[in-house]
Amino acid sequence: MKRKIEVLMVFAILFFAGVIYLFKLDKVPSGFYVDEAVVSYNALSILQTGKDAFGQPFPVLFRLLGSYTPPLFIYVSSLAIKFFGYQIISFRLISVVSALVSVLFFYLFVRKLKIFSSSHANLITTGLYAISPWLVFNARLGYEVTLAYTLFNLGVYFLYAALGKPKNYIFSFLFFSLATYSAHTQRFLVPIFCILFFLIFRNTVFKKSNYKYLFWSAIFTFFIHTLHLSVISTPAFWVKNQRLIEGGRVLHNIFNQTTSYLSTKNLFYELTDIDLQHTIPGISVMYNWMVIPFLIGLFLLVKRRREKNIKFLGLITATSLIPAVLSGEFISIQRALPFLLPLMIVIGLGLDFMLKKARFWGIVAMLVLFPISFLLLYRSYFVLFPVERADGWNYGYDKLAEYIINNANKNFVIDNSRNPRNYILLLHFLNYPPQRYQSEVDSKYKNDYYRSLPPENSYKFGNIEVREINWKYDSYKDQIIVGDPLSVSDSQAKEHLLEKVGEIKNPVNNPILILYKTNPVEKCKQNTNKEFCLQ
Amino acid sequence: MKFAKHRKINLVIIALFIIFFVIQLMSANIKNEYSFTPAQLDQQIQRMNYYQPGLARLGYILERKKEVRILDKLSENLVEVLDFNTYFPAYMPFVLFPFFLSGVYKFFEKNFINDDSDRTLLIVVFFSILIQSFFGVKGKLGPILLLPFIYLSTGDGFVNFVLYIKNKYEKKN
Repeated sequence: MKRKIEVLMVFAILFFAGVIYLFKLDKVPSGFYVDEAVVSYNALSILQTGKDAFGQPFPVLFRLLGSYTPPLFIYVSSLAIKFFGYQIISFRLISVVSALVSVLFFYLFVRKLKIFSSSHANLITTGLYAISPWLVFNARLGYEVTLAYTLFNLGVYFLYAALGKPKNYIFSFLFFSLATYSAHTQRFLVPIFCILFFLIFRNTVFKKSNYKYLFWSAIFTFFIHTLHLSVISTPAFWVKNQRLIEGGRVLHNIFNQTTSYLSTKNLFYELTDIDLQHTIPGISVMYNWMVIPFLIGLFLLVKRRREKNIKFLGLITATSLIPAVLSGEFISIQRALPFLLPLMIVIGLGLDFMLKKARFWGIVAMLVLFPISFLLLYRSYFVLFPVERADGWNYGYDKLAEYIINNANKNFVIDNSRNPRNYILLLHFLNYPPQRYQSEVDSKYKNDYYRSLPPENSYKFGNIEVREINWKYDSYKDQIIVGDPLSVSDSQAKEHLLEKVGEIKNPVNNPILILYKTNPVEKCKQNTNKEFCLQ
Repeated sequence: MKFAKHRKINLVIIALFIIFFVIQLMSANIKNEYSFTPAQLDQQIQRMNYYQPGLARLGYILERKKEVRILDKLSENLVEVLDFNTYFPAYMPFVLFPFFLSGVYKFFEKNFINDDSDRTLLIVVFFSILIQSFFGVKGKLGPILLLPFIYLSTGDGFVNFVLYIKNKYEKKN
C-alpha cells in the first residue's frame, strides 16, 4: 500500500476513534464513579490550595480513599481543570487523548514489529483495536488507568525500537518511569517486564556500543524515581501488596485468576468481573467473532516463537497479566488492561493469517464484521450501558447535590451503608471548597500522611453527615435523611414519623435515592427518649 | 491422494464422528437450548424500550428478533466450545492441561499449517466444533462431540512428553 494512503488511513482511524471516544462523553457513562470523583476533587484541591483533600502538600502518593494512588493523573487533572473548568468532561478528556495516543502507537508498534505479512493487516488490526470495547470503555474514564496504560505502551514501543537504535532506551525508561507514577498496576508491571526483557534479550542489550545509552537511561530513571524513593519505606508505598496473600491461598488464587483471565468466554462473550462498574452489558472486552483469529494467533505465536519480534510479543503477553493475576481473589478487568495490547496483536496475527490464506473472503469478512462490531458496540455501550449500569456509576448524586444546594439551611444525613465512599461524590458535585474540607477532616489523617490507616466510615462537612443511619437519635433531630431504597423501610418511616420529601430516580425510573424529612417535635411527644429531644 | 493413503483410519474416524453425532442428536433438547426464560423475554422487551423513538426498529431487531437472539446464543455456544474452562476441570483434571496444550499444538501444526497434509481429521474437528456450538455444551452428555478430540490430544501430548523424556535419558546414557 502506498505510504500516503496508509498515513491517511491511520488518520481516518484516529478521527473515527476520536468521534467514538468523545460522543456524549459527559453523559455516558451515566453518572460519576467514586474513582473519578476522588481524583477530580483532589485535583481541584491541589489546584486551589497546593494540598490534597487531607491537607497534604503535593503528595507523591495520594491517599484518596485509602489506595495511595500514584499521582500523575491527578496533577494532569489539575491542569485540565485550569483549561477546561471543573466538569466531568475535563477528567475523561485525559483518557480520550491517552487512548488516541495509544491507537497511534499501536499502529507504529505493529509496523515496527513487522509481525504481519501485509500493511493491510497493520491497518485492520489498528482499526479493530481502536473500536475494541475494552479500549472504548477505558477511553471514556475519568481516572488513571488509561493514561498509565498508554505510557506503558509507549515504553514498550521505544524499548523494542531500542533493540535497533539504542538511544531509544532513554525514551523507553522515561515513559516506563512515568507509567509507574500513574497507576498501581504499572508499578508492578514495569519492573517485572524490564527484568525479564534484560534476561531474554541480554545478548542484544548488553553490547559495548549500548553501554553509553544504558548508563544515561539508568541515571535518568534513578533521577525520576527519587520521589518514589522518598516514600519507599512508608506503608503507603506497599499498600496494594497485601492483596497477594488475601485469604492465604496464594497459589490457588493465582491459578484461578490465570484461567479466568484467559477464558475465551470471559474475553469474548461475557465478563465475570463482579464489579458492575467494570462491565458493559451484552458484550465483553472483545467482539465474540474475534475468538477465532485469537486462537489462530495464539497458535502462530507458539509456532513462530523463535523469531525476535515474536519473542518480544510473547514477553508482553506473558507479563501483562501478572499484576492482575497477583492482585486478589476476584478478577478485575481494570488491572488486566495491559493485556489489551498483546491480545489485540495476537488477534491481528490470526487475522493476518486468514487474510493471507483467503484474501478475497478475508476482505469481504472484514467489510461485514467492521460495521457489525460497531453496531454491537453502539448497542452495548451507548444504549444498554448508560441505563443498566447507571446505579453502578452512582447516577443521581448530581441531583442530590442540587437539592442540598437548594436547601442550604437544612441538615442532611446521607446513608453510606451500601456505598461507603459516596461522600466524595457530594464533595465533587457540591464543589465544596477544598480549603474548608481540609479544616474539617479528621486530624488523625493529617499526621503521618503515608501511614496506611483504615479508611473512615463517617464524614462530616458543612451541613452534611455521611454515615450509617442511627435510628436511636437521627429521627429526633430536625434534618433530612437520604438513603437508597433499602436504607429506610416503610415500617421504619412510619415508626419514626418520617415524611418523604423527594425521590431521585435512575434512567429506568426506579428510585435510587429517597429523601425523608424528620419530625422531631412529634417524635419527642410520643417517645420517652427525652435525652435526644433536648439536643 | 492423502485421503487414500489413510483411507481405513479416516473411515473409522468418520464413522466414529457419525456415531457421536447421532448420540448427540438423540440426547439433545434443541427446544430448551433456543428458548428463553420469562426473565430473558422480559429483559428483551425492556431493552427494546431503551432505544430512542427514531431507532425503535433497530431496537426491535437487536433485542427481540428471534434470528438475532439465536445468533447470539450460537456465538455464546461457540465461545464456550472453544474455552478450555469448559473441559478443565469438569472432564479432566487440570494437571493434564499442559499435555492437552501440547497435543493440540502438534495436531494443528500437522494438520492446519501444512498444505500437503490430510485434512480429514481437521475437517472432522471443524465440524465437531460447529455442530457442538449448535447443540451447546450444557446438554445431558456435555460436549460429547469434542471430548474424543480433547482426550486424544491430551493422550498424544502425554505420549510425546514421555518419548521426549525417554530420548533425553537415552542420549545421556
